[in-house]
Amino acid sequence: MSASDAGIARAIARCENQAVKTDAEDVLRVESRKREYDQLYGTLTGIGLLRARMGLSHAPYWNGNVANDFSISADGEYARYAELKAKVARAVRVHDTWQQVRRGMLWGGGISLATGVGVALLVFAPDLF
Amino acid sequence: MASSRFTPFERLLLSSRNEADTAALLLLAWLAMSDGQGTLSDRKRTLLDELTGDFRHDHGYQLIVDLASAPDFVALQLAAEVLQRYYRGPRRETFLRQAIHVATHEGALAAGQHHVLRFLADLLNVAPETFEVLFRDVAGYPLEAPEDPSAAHYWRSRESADHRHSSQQGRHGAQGDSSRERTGGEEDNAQGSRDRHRQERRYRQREHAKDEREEARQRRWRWRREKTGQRERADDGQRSDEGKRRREGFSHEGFSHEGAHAKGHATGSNEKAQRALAVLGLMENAQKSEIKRAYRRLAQKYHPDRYHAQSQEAMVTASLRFQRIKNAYDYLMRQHA
Repeated sequence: MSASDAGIARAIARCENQAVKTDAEDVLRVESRKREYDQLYGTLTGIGLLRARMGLSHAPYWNGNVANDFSISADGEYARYAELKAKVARAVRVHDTWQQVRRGMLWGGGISLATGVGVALLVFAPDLF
Repeated sequence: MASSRFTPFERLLLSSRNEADTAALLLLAWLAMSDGQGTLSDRKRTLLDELTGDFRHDHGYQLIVDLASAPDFVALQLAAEVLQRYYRGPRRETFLRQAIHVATHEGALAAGQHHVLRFLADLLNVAPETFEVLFRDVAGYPLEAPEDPSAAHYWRSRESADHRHSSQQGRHGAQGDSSRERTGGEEDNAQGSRDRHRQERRYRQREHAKDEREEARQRRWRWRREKTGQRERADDGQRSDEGKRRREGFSHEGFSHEGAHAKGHATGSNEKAQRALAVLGLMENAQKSEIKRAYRRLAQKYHPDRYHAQSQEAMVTASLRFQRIKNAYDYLMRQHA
């Protein structure tokens, strides 16, 4: 996320707005300031994405400079809670299907075993019948 | 399409006894760790333990701490959606109070915490006016606009404040310290000055909050004395009949001063109901079921048995608090009967 020193120097050199240039030099050229700035930038980027995904981009507390950065495009993410519910529903469906298959297999196995035993008795002990 | 595997936080939510409390815990941990230090210190963890004592998540902290420190915004989004879905009415206010307490526990709000708190207020659809009142109530000082670390003047004003503070310290401190010059590297200096700046602001805010609390206490005390005086004057003529009537008042922590008679004191009764609701952390038009729920939650949290192993003072405080909660509950139940 954080740009390299050379990248920052190049960007500052290209900048034409004198006020922004001064701010960038004062903040991003000092390691401790840059670290704090990066940390806050990360938090704000995350909050911006969360707000965009949850429809809170126009809420009362999202205004001013922090809300004016559109450099990161929206990621078209879906609702996580709905996704969790869908996953649970899918897991339940798989579980139910497996239970049906298992029951069928048990029945099939039982019938096959009984048939096998009957045939074996018929072949090897015909006197019983 | 999304991955069909469950993420660790999804598994935690599914195994939790109360998914809303699990979600709230993750968001509070994120707020606590947005102070620029990125770790959950023992003090913060103890505070979280205290604040979330009545949560019913019934699972450990480790995964929550890992997710909050990263921070994992996928998990945070899920937690925010769960919170938005389940936290309504007075529960929102209680949660925001907890959040403000977490953020202001160690002094002034860090820039990141400013934005996380505002996000939580928007998430729970709490209007700025209401949130600012809540903030002032909990923190003891008003909510200010967050500062902008991308501007040079922010750093200049911060460092000049640090400089003033260090020169003050120099005057008060030992003379030998004057040889300690600020030449030991920009990074260490900035870290040290940040700490000092925070300490200074924390001290100012504590003093401010203390003054405000003292002023509020005195105001309440004057109000109670006035009320008691008025009541005594009004009661002089009709003491014999009134004495037999059932008193509807709370018997502990100030409520006993205001044990107004029900008849002829409609406004007093209304105020008492409001105070009783405030004791239970409820809004004005709370339903009977909400009152019961709030009482159970608070009774579990503040039951004196829970403080048995602690000091005598803690036990007495807990008993008084529990009694106050119980009196408020009994009063409201009588009102709803």
